Amino acid sequence: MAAKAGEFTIPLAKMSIKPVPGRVDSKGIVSSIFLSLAMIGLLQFAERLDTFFFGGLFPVAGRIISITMIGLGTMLYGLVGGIIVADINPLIATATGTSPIAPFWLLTNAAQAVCAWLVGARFKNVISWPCVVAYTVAASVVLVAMYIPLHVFYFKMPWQKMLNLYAFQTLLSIPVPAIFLRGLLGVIRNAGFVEE
Amino acid sequence: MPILSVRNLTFTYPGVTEPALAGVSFDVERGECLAIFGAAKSTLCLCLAGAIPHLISGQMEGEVIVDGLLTRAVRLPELATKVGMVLQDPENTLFNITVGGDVVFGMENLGVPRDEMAARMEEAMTLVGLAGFHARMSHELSGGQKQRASVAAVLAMRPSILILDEPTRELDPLGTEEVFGLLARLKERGTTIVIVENDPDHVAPLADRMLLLRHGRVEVLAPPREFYARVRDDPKIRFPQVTELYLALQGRAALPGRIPITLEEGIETLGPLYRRVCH
Amino acid sequence: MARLLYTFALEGRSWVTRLHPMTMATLVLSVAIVAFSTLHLGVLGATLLVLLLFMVVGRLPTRTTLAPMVLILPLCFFITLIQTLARPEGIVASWNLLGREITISAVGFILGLRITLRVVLLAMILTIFFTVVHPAKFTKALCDLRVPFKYAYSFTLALRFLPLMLEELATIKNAQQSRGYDIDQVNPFLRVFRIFPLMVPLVLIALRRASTIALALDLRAFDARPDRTFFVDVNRGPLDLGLRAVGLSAAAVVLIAAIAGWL
Repeated sequence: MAAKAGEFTIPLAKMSIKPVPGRVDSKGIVSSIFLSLAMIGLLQFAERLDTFFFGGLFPVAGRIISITMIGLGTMLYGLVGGIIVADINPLIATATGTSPIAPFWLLTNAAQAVCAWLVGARFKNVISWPCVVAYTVAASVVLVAMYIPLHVFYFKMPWQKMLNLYAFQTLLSIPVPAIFLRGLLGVIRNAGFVEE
Repeated sequence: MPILSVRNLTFTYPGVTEPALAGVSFDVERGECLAIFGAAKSTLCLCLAGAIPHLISGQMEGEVIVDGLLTRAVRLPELATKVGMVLQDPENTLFNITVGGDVVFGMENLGVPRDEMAARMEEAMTLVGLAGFHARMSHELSGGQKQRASVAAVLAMRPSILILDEPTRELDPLGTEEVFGLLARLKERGTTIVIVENDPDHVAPLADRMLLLRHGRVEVLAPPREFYARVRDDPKIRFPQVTELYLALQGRAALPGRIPITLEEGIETLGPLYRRVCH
Repeated sequence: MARLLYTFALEGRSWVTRLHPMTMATLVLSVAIVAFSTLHLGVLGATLLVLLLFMVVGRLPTRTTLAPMVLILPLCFFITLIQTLARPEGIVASWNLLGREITISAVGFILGLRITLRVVLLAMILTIFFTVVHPAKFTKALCDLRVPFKYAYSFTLALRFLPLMLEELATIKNAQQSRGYDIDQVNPFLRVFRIFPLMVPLVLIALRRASTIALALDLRAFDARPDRTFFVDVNRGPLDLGLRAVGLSAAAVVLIAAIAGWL
């Protein structure tokens, strides 16, 4: 079914019109892996800020990048692609010794992919502000919800005293990734990577 | 019977009205080396390898028959046993961490038994001059070594035809020499080669015939000397230096012999003229 | 970037590199169960000693394996600090600062150290896992567990191309620098907000390269058949079974003891 100009369901998915599993051919899988590697590279620039925020307990910069890139992967390649972007990252970060606590992010990253999938499925055009903002809001809220058990059960933190920090994280992780993601999707479309 | 037959091949990319290939027809005999020049040469290579139409969308008409198999009618894995393709950038064709892992990768995908894999890996790596490199990490190799490893990975699958799309584009002169040295050895063994390459000094001595594509059609298909004679006025074609010199002098001096395409032939043909003029 | 951990596994000089990947995975699981079950200092300390002993006996490269631990030091510091300042019990000192009461809790401090030990254990066992396990064997082991090859292979593919992508990023950074955009001059705490000029070209390069690599994979019959063969061999020996049994038994004992309230 040909899409009208400016209207897409999943922009790059040629193999499957359904967001689940999405595009799971070689191109979909390899592209997802490469987006994950790009994410690892970009996270270098997040390191200083996140170390300042309690050694990575309340990542801000890393969250901005992960929400952006995982959202990008899911919206381009579907749920499986998004999960590849999300979960290859922590595994590689651990395997290359760049972040030994990265495995904690396996679930939290996968949750972002699920958010992107659920939100993207409700919009005809994912390359739009309503879609990306809805996704970043959903991802930010879900991440706070997931980090509370992590902080409480694993790190034994008094979560009630952390509310200001959660609020600060959420405040930044909604608008900034939305701007980045919308920009990236637009650039990718204009660069001709979109397939009908 | 030719090992490769192309019959009225026409291909148009999606969203484009002008076809990239229009009615291309030619044959390649077993053991022959065909060099391709002009526009849409990579598209032609992708058609020969079966990537078009299996992986790349567009409108394809006509036939490509590789060692008896019609490319559009068989699955790509089956074609992989008949035709192996080496791409421009070797970084994009070495997927595994070690060289050995890359050489066996294709065989693993095809279900080759483990014992046979070891023998074929050894054979392929010796042929490309990388014997003993199987444990080396792919990203540590030089450009020429990487491209040779890519060729080994393809040869291990024992294809009937080897297609190379600008294999030395990303390489330095040393790497280029290594790759063309390898191709010369493969040709001596009787491997059928189809090559796209912009380096005329290396390609001309290797090729049995040369094909020029213009506006999607075959404009010239001839052995190298005849090819260069026919395209001598084409500004877009690069010539081997000795050929260029010979053709430039041809109108101004009585030159004996046939068009040289190697340095040795150039010395033999132009040497007497040089000695007459300079002494 | 740290030396790639798996180079030790590729060298294959130690007996630990011949262990089945699932044996190492079982040990990871066992340590995780112990770490999550209890914060008993003795148990965690003993587990740490066992891991260090494993490293010595297995002749693991100490420097390469322990170097990543340095990266979790800030996290450990903040965990301990937060616990020390936030716990209401065991207060040993308090004072008033700008109208707010600041307390120092000895109980919190000890708790912080225990949680630090828990984090160190998990980080260490995972680092050991990736040091010891050959990526190709890991892929084979996953396929033996019926994970489709195209997904199991993702990890190897990612490891292979990570250095390349980091090089591409460095090239992009230099190119943008020559155009007047220098992220190194930006305040380190604000860099992520100015990252778009690096992000866009990196993503485009990633997608372009991925297209070519996917084509090359398909031309080599990638995922052609479900019964593909493997050149690497992963065999389970008596040592594998023994280590799995010991690991899981120890984890079960600790878990039961923790549930019963003995720890």
